[in-house]
Amino acid sequence: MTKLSGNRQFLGDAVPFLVGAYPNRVAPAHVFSGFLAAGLGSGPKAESISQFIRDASGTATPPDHLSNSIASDPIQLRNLAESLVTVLDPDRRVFASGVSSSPVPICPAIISKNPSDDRFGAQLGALCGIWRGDQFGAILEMYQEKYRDPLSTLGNVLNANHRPKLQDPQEEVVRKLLRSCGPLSRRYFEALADFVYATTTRRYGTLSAHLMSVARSVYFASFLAALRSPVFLAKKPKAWADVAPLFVYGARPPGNTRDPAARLAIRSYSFVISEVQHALGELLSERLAKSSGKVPKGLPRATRTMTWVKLAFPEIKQSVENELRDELKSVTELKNVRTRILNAVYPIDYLARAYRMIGRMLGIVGPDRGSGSPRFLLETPVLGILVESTLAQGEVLSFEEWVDRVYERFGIVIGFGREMDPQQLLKGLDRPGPLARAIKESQEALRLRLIMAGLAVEYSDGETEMVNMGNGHHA
Amino acid sequence: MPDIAAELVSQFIDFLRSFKNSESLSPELRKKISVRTNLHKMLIDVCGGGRTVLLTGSAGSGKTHLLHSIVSEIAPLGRVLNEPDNLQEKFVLVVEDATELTPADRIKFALTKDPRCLCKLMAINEGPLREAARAKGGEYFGAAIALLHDGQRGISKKYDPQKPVVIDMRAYDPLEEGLIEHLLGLDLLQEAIETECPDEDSPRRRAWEMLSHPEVRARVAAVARLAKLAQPEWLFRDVWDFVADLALGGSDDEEIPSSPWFWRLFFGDNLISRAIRSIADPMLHALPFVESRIWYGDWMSDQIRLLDGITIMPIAKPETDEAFIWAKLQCLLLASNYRFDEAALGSADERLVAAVAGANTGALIKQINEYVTFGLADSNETSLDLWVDHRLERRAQSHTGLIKLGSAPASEFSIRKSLVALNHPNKEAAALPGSHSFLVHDSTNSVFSLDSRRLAILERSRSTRIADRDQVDFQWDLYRFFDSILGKKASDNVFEIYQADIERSRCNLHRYAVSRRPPLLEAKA
Repeated sequence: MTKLSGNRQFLGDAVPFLVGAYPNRVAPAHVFSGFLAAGLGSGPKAESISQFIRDASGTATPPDHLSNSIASDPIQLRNLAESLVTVLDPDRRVFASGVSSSPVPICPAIISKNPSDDRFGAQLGALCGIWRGDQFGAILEMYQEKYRDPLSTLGNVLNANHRPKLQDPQEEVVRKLLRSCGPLSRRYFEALADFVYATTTRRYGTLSAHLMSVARSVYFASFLAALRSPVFLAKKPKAWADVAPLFVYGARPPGNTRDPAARLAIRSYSFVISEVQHALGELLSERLAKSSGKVPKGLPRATRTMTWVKLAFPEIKQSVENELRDELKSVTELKNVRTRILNAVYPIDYLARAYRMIGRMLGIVGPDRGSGSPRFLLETPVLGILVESTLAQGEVLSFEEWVDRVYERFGIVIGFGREMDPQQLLKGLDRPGPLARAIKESQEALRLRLIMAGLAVEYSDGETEMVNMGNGHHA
Repeated sequence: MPDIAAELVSQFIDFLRSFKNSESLSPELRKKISVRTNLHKMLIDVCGGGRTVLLTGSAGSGKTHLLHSIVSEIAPLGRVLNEPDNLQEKFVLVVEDATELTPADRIKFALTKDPRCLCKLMAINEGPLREAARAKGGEYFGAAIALLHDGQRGISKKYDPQKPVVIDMRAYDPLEEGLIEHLLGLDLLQEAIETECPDEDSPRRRAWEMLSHPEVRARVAAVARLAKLAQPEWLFRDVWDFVADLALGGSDDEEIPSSPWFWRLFFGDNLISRAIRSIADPMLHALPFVESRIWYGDWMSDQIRLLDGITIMPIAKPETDEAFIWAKLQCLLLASNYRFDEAALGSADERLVAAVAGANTGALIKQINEYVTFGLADSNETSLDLWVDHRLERRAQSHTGLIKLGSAPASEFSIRKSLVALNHPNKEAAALPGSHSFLVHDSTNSVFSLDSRRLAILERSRSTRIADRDQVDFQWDLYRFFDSILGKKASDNVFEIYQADIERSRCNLHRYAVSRRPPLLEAKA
């Protein structure tokens, strides 16, 4: 890997949800913080709270409104800092410097705006703001009205009278995406916005459970957006059959590679990632083609290509330029320039690794570690969010109808459902016979997992219905 | 031996060897093999007042058989009809299979009011039930589905005459005490074995003699109940498959005969035997001293003490594994001072299984408290601690801090069983327990399922490894359960932070009080 891998100076201004150079930083806590900051602004206490809980020296400024017994006793202060780690930083995404920290946002004053999420949070915030204008109003309501548990009260104490103002998340790159992509893409992004909105407007028992659910749905939606936005921009597909099928392994993750369904999920992952790379290549070509006429004539061959590239990608910095120069060498033709840049900035193994890193943090891609080939999967907490957000509260839907719904909204294949065309789905993947069987087996395994998790009910006539009865209300 | 017509025996053998289906039985045979269970009384009690009774459950759960077998008992009350006619006398309407009616006809049947009609009985699978509920005017069936959903979680409500009485055959536990013992003692079964296996000295016949001892039959039934640890719900059809396999399965002609019931109990070709072996593999149960005697073929050893009146079938040289097990199984099942079912329970979650079986809420709550805190904190059985967890990210080794937002007294919980009779006017019948257990928080109706897999996880200590998906999924569901209770039971001003240091086997607990007005955070002792 070079310094160029995932460098956002190339397409960062054109492609939203673009994976960056450090995908291991795009953690759920950061993306959620970025998302909230987009709609509620960053909080004035984020940095000081981060310093307090992470400062081992005990010299950081403690929060306001502490009782004398805590404020005047260094041991009590240290205990409090350690206790707040459990509340605000169980994922270890808060740092002593306070910069790039993302404490669990139990109140608006500690919402942190930082660059660690590669703008995934802000861009999803913009997307949700466009499709669901009330998204952040509902979040504010969640903070202010809904809950009366002790952590909600603690949030109130830490919030110290901070009154966030609703903001209109401005991400031009998202608006551009929605302007330039086709109807399938618009439906997709609307479905993602709905997905997040569904968890936001749902009722939970505590603020904690509500926050965690919204955070999961935000991260899940961001990942799905990241997986498809380059393709939507480059290809403008009209139907799901026009893009690489996203087949999710339905049995218990991560699955044995000897299992045909696991192999299918691995193959699907590799297809989807190749398609992303191809789409990024197309977008690079497009930019280069647009600038080719602007290159001054008569430039020496040695500098001509670099000038062209700088015109196409005006944001690239000197260090990147130097490295790119070595990569490009003497190529001058569009096709060759594009291929060299693509292989340097978005090599396939980098993309495969990057999406795996982001996806595994929540349990959408696995295996978690080791040399096993990456595949799409759904860990149970993610499955829970998928069910919660795709069914209205109290809605009853047959399992097959739900499989159709998940495909229709997100292009995720978890089975054949009732209306899907297996031949169409499997086009290009492999021989349809064994794969169709693998998908059916995976669908059955998923059905059993849903029943075990209380997310579906099986009836004696073999019918399975999805249920969304709320937490704990399941048999 | 009573004189039983050969034709009846032949029919019975056909039944045992085929797909068990009540429709295929002659009335005479049905009467011979019927076992009177609590379901009969429950159904007869409800006949009257023009009520509609829906018998729900999957194929094989015994709906049709139950309907057939009570017809003679309800006949004195009135004529048993399949559809109303113009007679002036009282009648009972019976629909044996609702799939034969259209959804509209099912609704019409249920809602028909006729002063001459004592009761309407309908056997219906859940599919046709939901179909009727979705049809126009199907609210009555919708109410039945709601009752089923509640009953499957052990929630019973006051009798409402506007709703149907529902008997959920799926919830009924056919492994209940008495049923298997009764079936194994049927004269007709003995006759079937004698017909199929005329040689009195055959291993099958000699082994079956042991089952004339009531204690042996009771032990077989107790071992069969171990299958519930693998899967809580069993059908009448599964029980019949089990009994048929014990009686007629296997062969006498193998070197180690596979025909004796004690072999089939574990190695039979039926679902219950497979489940028993998965829970309690007899190979893994040691019999110190006895095993060495078996190995040397010392059958007269005083180490081998059997139930009174029982003689085992010795093997001259039990030197192969198979022969050794064949001999050992008899000692495991027939020893006077050893109970295989109890020993098996002892090795598989005895404490919790016993706690759930005995509805000992305190013991279960204590175990949950202990599990959540990694077994490092003092746990109590008087209240369930309610925790939340703010972790989102999957890390190889997860953070061990927890946040306690409240607790709920043990008195607010009950261990409930799924219910068989729903909206039954008779309180006693309405309380008949089904096969599935739950921990229920009464005031919020929050439910946590207690199957054997979950009890096994609770018995194990909690792991911090994210790769242990059994535990991750279990914890996810447990937190959902806590959250649904916390919606009503969270303390509004006190929380506790628990941090487990697993390497050093110790923990820290810090308690804080918070208030909104004035905003204040203080440490509590």
